[in-house]
Amino acid sequence: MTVDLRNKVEDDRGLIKKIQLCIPGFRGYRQKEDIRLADALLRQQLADELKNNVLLPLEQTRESASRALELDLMNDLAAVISQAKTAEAKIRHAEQGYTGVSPANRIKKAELNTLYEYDLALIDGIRGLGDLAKAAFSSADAGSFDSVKEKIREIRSGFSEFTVMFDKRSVEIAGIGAF
Amino acid sequence: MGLFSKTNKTIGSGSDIEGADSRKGFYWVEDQKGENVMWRLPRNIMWNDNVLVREDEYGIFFRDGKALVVFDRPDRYALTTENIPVLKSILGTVAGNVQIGEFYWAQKREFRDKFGTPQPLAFRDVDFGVVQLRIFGQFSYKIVDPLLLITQFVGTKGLTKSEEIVEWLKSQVIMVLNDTLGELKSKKQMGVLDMPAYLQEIEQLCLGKLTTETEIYGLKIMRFAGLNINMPEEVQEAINKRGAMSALGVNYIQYQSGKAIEGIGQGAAQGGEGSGFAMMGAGMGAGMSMGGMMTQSMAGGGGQPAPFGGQQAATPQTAAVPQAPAPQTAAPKQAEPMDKCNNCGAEFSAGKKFCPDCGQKMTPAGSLTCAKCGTALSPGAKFCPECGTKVETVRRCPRCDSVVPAGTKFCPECGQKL
Repeated sequence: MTVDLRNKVEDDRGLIKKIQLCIPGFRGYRQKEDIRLADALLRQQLADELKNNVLLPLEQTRESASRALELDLMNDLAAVISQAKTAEAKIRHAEQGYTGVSPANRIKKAELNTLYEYDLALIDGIRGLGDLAKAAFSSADAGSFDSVKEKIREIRSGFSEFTVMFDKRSVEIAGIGAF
Repeated sequence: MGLFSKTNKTIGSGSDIEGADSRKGFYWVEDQKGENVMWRLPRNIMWNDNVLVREDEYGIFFRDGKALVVFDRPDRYALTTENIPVLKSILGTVAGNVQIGEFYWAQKREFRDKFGTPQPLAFRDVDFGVVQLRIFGQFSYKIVDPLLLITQFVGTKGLTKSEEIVEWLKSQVIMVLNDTLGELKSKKQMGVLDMPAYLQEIEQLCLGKLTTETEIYGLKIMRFAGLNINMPEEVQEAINKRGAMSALGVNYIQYQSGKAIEGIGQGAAQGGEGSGFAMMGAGMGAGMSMGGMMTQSMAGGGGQPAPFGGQQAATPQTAAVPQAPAPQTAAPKQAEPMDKCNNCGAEFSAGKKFCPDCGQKMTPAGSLTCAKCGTALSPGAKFCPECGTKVETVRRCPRCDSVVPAGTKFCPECGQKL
């Protein structure tokens, strides 16, 4: 069951935050800040999911392949591990949708909500990649490295899709949708 | 105003941490960061002290010797102990002890360093036998679990600099590399000459194996760069020579003679004393060469081919004393096969390498000669080294001059051995 972190952050507001909500002019800032916080928490969870369920099995696969001296597989594995690390760092340190006092593009509450839902939609893709990575590790553990190669190819194309999708995020943040 | 200015001075100033009494916001001060992998706050944490953890840092909070929490997200944290600043000394007096809170920071970023074998590694190679290998390169590592690093590696020794960690990691890298190369040799028959083609794969093999070695200490080797597997200079030189000989299509003696002649030319070009020595060397070389040719011509067709530089081992008969002419025997001499010099036309017994009259190099039967100047060509040569004429690939029989297909050992027309 997926918990909406925006509700959780709202429920956990302390006294100071509640007072801030009552101050005219500060209320909007507080609300947007809470969505940003919920989005940051969500991205942290996504990055952890990618780290534990995709990157870790891939590294275990590499370890199995290196014990079996599978030289032909090593470069493919290195490439896919590198893709996983890049994706994890991108998610963890992604832009949160901050703007200045009088910005060129104002980011409103609705856009921040879109951003949150956008990040939430990534979870299915990451879980799919996790299943493939685990299957690759099972094959490597069983010594059938041909099937590992096949799965790695699928993971690589999955990461390529992910990169394209995640790069659209900045367009969503700006809310301009020019491309 | 005075109150605010005092507050602003203390908050966030890391330089006067030692001995400070008032509550502060602490952060990892810049002059203590650099290449340090971790840093302990040099005073104990008290109730509701604020600590800043940045994007590239972990924060670890210990209370009464127990690690309570690792902060891996950037934020400002208010830490909880029971040591309230004002009541601390009163509580200490009444309760008899004071709670101790400690705070450590550890870096998240990757550190880079170099590794290399302190002594060459003995490696049994398929081509060269036992060779001494030197391996060096760069690697990067990072802390993946600061709590494990403190509890399993650094401990309470206060080792915060990266030197000791790096030394340990280097020894692990060398050990795993040595192990991997040995396995590749024994299971995949990989020789020293194959290794440069598989450097990336070797790096990845080592990374895979190193993960389990280092992760128990909260460390991880992230990548290798510039891995270099070298042989000693003399072996490398021998390999280079072998390659050059193969490219030129010459044997060792021809190669060495060529190098010697090249050296003489360079010495003569330099002039001065070098020129004198070079000319002397040239003279000696020429003398030895002439001597070799003369010995060869005197020895006749029955002499054994010379083992080095065309010189022949002196036999007791020819060594010092001139021998008296042998008595003529009555038995008729068997007709000797004869050769003719292409240059001067002199006839002499077959089997000689140089013409005894003019010194022209003799061409063995069936070998290629230049169509223009008649110079003997080395196998595989595309141009004549004398006149530069392009070598015809068509072979002709030296006896009947008919065209002979490549690779044939006898002439299809006259049966001459080629």
